[in-house]
Amino acid sequence: MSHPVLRIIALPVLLWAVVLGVVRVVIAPAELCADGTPDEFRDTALDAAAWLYLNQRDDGSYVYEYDRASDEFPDAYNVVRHAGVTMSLYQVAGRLGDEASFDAAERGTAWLLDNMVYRDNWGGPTNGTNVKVGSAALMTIALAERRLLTGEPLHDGTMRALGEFMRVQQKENGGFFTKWFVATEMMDLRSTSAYYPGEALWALAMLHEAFPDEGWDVDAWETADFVSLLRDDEEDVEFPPLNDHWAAYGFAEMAEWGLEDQHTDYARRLAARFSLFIRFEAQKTDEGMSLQVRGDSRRSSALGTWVEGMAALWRLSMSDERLADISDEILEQARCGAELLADRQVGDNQPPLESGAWFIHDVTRMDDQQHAISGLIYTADGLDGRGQREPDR
Amino acid sequence: MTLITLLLVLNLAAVAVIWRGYRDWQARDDALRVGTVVAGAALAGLVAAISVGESVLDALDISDATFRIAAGAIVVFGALQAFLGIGLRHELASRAWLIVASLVWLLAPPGVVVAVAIALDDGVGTAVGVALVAVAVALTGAAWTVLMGERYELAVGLLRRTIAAGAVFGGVDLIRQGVLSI
Repeated sequence: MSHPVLRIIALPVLLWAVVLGVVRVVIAPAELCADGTPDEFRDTALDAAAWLYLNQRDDGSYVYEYDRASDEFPDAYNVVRHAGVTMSLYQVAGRLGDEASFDAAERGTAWLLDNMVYRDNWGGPTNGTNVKVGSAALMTIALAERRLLTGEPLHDGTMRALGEFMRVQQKENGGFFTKWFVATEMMDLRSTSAYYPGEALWALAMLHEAFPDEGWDVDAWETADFVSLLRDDEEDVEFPPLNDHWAAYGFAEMAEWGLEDQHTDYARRLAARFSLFIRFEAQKTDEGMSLQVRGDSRRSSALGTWVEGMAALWRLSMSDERLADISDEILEQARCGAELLADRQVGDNQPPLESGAWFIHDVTRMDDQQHAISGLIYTADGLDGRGQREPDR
Repeated sequence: MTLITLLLVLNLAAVAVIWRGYRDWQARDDALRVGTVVAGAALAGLVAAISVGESVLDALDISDATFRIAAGAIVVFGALQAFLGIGLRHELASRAWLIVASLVWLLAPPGVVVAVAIALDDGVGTAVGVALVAVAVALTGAAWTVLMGERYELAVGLLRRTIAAGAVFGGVDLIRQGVLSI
């Protein structure tokens, strides 16, 4: 112990070797981000869409969840996710020109229309018990996607009824009540939802884009302020900002309206949050020490939303000078997340209930495919430098 | 903030503690000669780290943002080490060992990672300039406290702990930067 080589050199070197080793394993493992290509991402999205439409039921509903280990379909369904899946199929049809996806989205829309409840001047799809703001918002977006793709005003009345439902549910501070009970015809005044405001924000923005003279932007601005300034506190988000990809879509849609500083500040913080999550996910290998320290990979309905969010924020950064300095970094992180999605998808030559899907612990849920599809499509567009989200008609 | 953090992690008072372990100081010129050698070697080491830092991060598949979080953790650990004085007290029998002990401290991971973080943010030129200033401040401060004599032992210890506490904040700020980076 007294020899100077030991005291002065060996011990500090040993100490720091241990510390650096721990830092490498716990904080900074390798981030495994390959350079995926737009074509690869679009192919992956098409395979995921095929899972959705090949397994669609005759009534227009989708396979909600599938357990490949037991070959079982849990008895559950979710209208909000049905609307989201339908939206993603219209996106595949619009951006990738896939007719099978369009047909499936039309059947999904018919299912939603069959389940509409109307009161006064508003309406929304119900699960039999209630009408949720999230369902109405995502159905609005799905129909807006269809309108952008086809140019048809076929569902304009339904879009307006859905928008009026969101207006009825909106609070004075710009937030939202969550649902309306069909049996009692009462609003739920107690529960809150972290993500419904972001969904409504995008939906209201899409309504204003579709019907610019009807004042939907007023509601959208109120929602934008709520989401960027109040929502995280109201929802007691422990580490704000909430990773809300819907809000990212909304603000990207509103970019040309002229956002306020609080909106772009929020967008910057949101990009950092998605980036942190994607980096963390890219460090996982699902084996050995990584599994112990980092845990399992997240399901693609989580990873996909982060990629969606980054792709949307990239579009926003292309339109708003205040975010131009982070544009390249945002797109690079979106690419990293999209590559992770492409790597984890079940490949071809598998049964129809597996090919094109993402499984965690042998279970896939329809929104695993939905969020991955949207993230992959818009990341591919970003890598091609396409800042416009809407389809080319 | 990161520039100040480099000054804090090199911790002139910690260097002073090492230098006070050498009992055969003869004159001001003696300190100047040792200081010049240590400064040259430390600066060369930091410049080398700054030059290859980005390549090493690429080879290890570590993004800049994650590196900042890791660097912050390393700085916090180094600050705790300096605060507690772990590995700082040596009875140094020769100038050669004095130089080696000084370099082991100055080229420890906290200084290296902060210098690399500065290079990632502000470029290699700025990082080299800041490293030059930080090394000069650390060694000048250390020489000054040594030449002040034994009666300032308590003051040097307090200064070391105060600077180390400041370095903790520097490390936390690096972690914050990493979390908020894209």
